[in-house]
Amino acid sequence: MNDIYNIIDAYTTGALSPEEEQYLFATLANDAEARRYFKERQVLSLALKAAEVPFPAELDEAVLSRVQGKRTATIFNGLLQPVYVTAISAAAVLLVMFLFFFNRVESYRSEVDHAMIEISNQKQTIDLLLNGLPTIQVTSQNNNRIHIANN
Amino acid sequence: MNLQNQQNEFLNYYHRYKQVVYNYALKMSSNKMVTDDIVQTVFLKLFEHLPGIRSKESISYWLFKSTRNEIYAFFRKKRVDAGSSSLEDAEHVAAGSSANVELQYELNNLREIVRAELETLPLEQKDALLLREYGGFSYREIGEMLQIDEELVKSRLFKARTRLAKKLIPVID
Repeated sequence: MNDIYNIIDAYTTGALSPEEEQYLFATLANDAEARRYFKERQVLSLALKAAEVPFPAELDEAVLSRVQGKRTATIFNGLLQPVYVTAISAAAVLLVMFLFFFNRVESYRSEVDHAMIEISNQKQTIDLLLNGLPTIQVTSQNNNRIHIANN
Repeated sequence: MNLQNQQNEFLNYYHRYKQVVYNYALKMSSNKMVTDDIVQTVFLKLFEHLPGIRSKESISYWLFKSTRNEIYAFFRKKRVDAGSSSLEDAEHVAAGSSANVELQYELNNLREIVRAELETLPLEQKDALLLREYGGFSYREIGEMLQIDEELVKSRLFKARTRLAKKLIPVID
């Protein structure tokens, strides 16, 4: 295959250096066969370009939504990695322990409150009993004997 | 690469290559539904494999290679001849929206002519031509993709172009 075809092909893709372009146009000026092929290449490229079908909007939507779905799935799968699973499990255990001990503390607090009320009640009862006893007078006598008498 | 960066990078490549990949797949398979499936599959694969693709310059090569593999897998699975096409697909493809009805008509006409002429090409010539025209690949890259010698790529391209030009030039002139 003639080298000029490769040069023409490279020209249509913009891959020629200025020197090569100069050589190409000099050849085209003198070579009818090269001119014919050059025209063919130009027409073909334009026709194929013009024959491009626009990318369908519904396909655009479908691809992007599937990629978004894939991204969500990737995030979810990432959470299923061992390190995350361990962390989430540990957090769950700590939460359960917290709830358990919180409950216990609340229960103790309630018992202490109840005991305080009981103590308070008993103190009042003792005070009442003490107040209900008859008063007495204690006096000392000369013979070193203590005399206790009701008032 | 975090997911946000991966998505941004993907969108960049997607918008850059979707049109040419779609046209390559459509003209190779001649079937719009199959093309839609293939394009979705290929771009989803790109999203998944993007962090693992080291040379970002080769994304275009990767995309066309994957698309080509999907197309040939479809051919093998369905045992369809790549040369077969359906009128329904052609009509669907031709349907477009444009304010200029006359221009749209001519464009659709040209698309239909090019599509029909491409169908007459042997599959291996059509493949090389579309990889060159839509993918913009070098002879060496096409040779690697098709697993053939560079000289054979040139020969196939030459034959395909000559054959197409012979049919298209009288129409376009």
